[in-house]
Amino acid sequence: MKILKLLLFISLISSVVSNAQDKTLYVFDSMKKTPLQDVHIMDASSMIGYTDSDGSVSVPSDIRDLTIHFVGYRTLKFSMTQRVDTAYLVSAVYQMQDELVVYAGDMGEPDVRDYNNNSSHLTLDRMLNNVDGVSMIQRGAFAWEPTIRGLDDQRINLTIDGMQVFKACVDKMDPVTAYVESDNLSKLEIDKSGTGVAENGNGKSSINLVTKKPDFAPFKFNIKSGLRYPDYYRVLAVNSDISKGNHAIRFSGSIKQADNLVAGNDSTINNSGFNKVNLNLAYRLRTPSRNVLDVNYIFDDARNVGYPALLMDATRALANMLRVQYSWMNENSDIPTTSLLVYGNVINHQMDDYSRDVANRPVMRNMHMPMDGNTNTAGLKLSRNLYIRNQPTSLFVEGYLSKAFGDMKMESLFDIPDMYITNLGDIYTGSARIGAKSSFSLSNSLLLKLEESLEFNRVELTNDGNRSFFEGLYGKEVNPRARFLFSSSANLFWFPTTENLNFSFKAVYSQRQANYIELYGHYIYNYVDGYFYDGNPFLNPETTLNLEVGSQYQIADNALSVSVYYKQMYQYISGIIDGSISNQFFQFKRYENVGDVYMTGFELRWLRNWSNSFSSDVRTAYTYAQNTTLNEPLPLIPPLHGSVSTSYAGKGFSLSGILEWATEQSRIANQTTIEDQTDSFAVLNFELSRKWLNNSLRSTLSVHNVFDHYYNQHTSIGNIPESGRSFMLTLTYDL
Amino acid sequence: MFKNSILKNISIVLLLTVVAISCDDSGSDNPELEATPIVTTMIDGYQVELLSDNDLRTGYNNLYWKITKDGSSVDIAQISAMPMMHMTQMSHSCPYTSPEMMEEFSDYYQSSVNFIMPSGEMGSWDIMLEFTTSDDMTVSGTVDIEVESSWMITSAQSGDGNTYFITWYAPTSPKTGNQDLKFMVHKRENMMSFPAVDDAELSVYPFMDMGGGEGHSTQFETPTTKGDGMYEGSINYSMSGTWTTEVQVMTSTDTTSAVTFEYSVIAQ
Repeated sequence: MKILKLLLFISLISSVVSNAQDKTLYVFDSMKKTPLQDVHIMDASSMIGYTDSDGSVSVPSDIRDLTIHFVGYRTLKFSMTQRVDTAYLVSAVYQMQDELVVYAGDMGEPDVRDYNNNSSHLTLDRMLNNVDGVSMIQRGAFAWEPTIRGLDDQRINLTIDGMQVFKACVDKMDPVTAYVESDNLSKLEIDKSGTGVAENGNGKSSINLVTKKPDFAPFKFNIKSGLRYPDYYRVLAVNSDISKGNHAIRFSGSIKQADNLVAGNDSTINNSGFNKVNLNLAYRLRTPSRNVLDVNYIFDDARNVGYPALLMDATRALANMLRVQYSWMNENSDIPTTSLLVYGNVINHQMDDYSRDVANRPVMRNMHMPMDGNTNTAGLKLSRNLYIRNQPTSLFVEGYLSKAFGDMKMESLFDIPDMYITNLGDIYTGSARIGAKSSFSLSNSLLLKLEESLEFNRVELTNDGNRSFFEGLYGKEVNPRARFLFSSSANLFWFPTTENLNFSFKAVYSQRQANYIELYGHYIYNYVDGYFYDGNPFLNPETTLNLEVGSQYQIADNALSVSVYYKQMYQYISGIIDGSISNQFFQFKRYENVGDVYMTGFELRWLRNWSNSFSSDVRTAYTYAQNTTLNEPLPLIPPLHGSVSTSYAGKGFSLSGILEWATEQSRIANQTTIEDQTDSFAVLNFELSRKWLNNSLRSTLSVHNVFDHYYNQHTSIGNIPESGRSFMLTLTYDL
Repeated sequence: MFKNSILKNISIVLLLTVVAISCDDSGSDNPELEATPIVTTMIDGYQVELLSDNDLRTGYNNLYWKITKDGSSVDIAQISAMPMMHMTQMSHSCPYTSPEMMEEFSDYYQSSVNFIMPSGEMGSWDIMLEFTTSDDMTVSGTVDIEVESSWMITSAQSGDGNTYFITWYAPTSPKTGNQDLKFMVHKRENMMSFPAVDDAELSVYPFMDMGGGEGHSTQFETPTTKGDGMYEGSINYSMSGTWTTEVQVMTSTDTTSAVTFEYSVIAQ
């Protein structure tokens, strides 16, 4: 009995001593400051325990670095530095979206949401083209137009830091992506499925270009210079951050020039050079209460931009954008509780064909056609993150007003008076909407995210002549087109075991008001099918139902992502031939709700770190799109395509080989659009980077299309080819 | 003092009210027509004023007649106004209507003329005016006028040699967008008679020649007969510039050659 008492005493003492050596971690919700129960606490390799109802968990004293998992919250890497410490988890409702981070710098563990496009020579167009599910419509070597899963322009959202920007060129020469340089890009937020309806305003796929904000480092300076042969593309870019106290300023500027594109087999593509200046000035103020004021001004001036696929070239594309954002920050995270954005932008676009042989082109012969276009947009956006009935919720209130104008003068080579058309007759687009998103933890392994948006959208044509034209065309009075548009999405995340594996099930319902060109555009030439398009002020909204299943699996050296989607679109808007006035020289179409279409496809990505220095990245994507009413494929759908890249990173240098490929595209439209088939291709690229001078100087030599293959993407308008073999040397110096 | 001030203010208000009422001519018995003066002449002691919407030109013209004596309106029992072109070898008239008292402007009589040729070396126009006053006095004389050339009337021959005059009635100032398209059709029976043609069908084709014969049409509704030689449809110009419109007249007995109007459309 004495022995038993002794053993019990020893055991008790041991226990007390042992507990005395453990540390205590409390885990709280970052916004509510309430304890979180059943949070998974792990060290590098194993589970340590779960938090109790008061949010506490004991952590062995010899363990310092922890990984904290909890469904519905961001995973947190946490280092315990005190015997009793507190960790705050941030709700994952702000994270769980199809956000693809591009140009984020060096990668750590493989992450299928990350795209390590930090190669300094890459343009934004190339960066986007590298994202699976994103393809670029090319009209030349400049300002490619992004498409997501085969949808372009009016069916996707393109924003800059949340700012609505409308193109000023009716020929789509100036996609919004042209106004942000890769040097000034922090990341791309890409929502391919369109589930982010609360923030985006609708169920469209979206790309938000997030620019770099001023850094509170005392001083940073970066200069980049590059030259490419044989098109003599040259770039000079300067980036600098300077700060003092709570004030920080960032300057970014670049000058780009290029001669004509040289395709494979030494084929020079005339009218494909360009000149461009981009300036960005940003100011950030951090208040004592950690609130943040951001002021950002973007100036972009492109001149003499050749568009070989089009009838004319851009003489000048000028953009001025100003945005002011004030963010009330959460005490314990970098996520603002409230944010107010006010912005305005003015886009001007001028183009002409004075340098073209207008007498021998297939359409609009024997005349020059200078065109002007401009858009003026002002808007605001209020975002608020809060908890409603203990559920993390975000609310959005947004409004904007935009005016669009475009005209075309026709100067005949013959002795006849000039002709004139107003393509966009002072069209005002106004939008006001509210959006909300909430997430609900259904269990330890299920998270449901719901988003809704209700928008009031109004589009008005104010030019008397154009309004009269549409009234004559349709025999009805033309009034402003005003609609309430509702969009909603449900996003169910399932974590069956650990966060290394997850599944997502997404459903999106959305309504889309026809845009101002589809409603009121007049005599707009479509280079894809060669028809002149007139709008239709009486179009019904297009509705879309999108379903998607996705999965991501990530362990230390492997990451796999796959998405399969199905999208059904009702009252699809497309051009229908107007035979009443068409002839062999001029063919006309009007926009109509032509019926139903569907799209289905998949994206697959596999990342593998074979060793500490050797890695690979495999991507492929496919879209099948069919107009069921007309029983034909949708136009400009990329074929099965992908890439395989392998990289070797040594001490101070890296070498990459990238194989890009695409199968032939024989599924082509021949009613709504006159397409032709595209051959398959495969091209090989190499890139060698090396750091010098204590890593402050980096040189990158890239070789594109090593075998000088002549090819074009299916989404290239007019089958303008990609560049042939080219060599580019880029030097980047960081001070 | 205060009382005087109030009375003064009331007086000013009343005065302004009277002035305002007296300046309002909406209740006048003899409103003045706003039109372009063409000619003023004296015929047997009567002053004859001729006005029109514009300077007279070939094609359709409205004529507004005002006849006064010693500054006072004259009661007219009957009035006629016949346009005549005097050429070296011959004279002829053109399609026209007789004056009728205007409802809104009772001092004025309105008629219309489709001048088929301009004044010039070929000949000169006058209008034979004859009216009978309420006291049964008949007055007649000629009013010399100048008619400018325009694109708004043309003639077409049928296979049987009949001549039809096709007048572009509207739009008088074509502009981009949708508007009424109106023609008048008259047949020349003889040099003095040009009856309206009401039983015809028109073939119309607007076209924009954008150079070298390449161009396109625009949406339009073919004009159909509305009586008194008038044919009404619509046309929807897609752009400004020089347009042509080809017209052909088809009756039960005649089919004319196609004639073309060429004109400018302005942007609005």
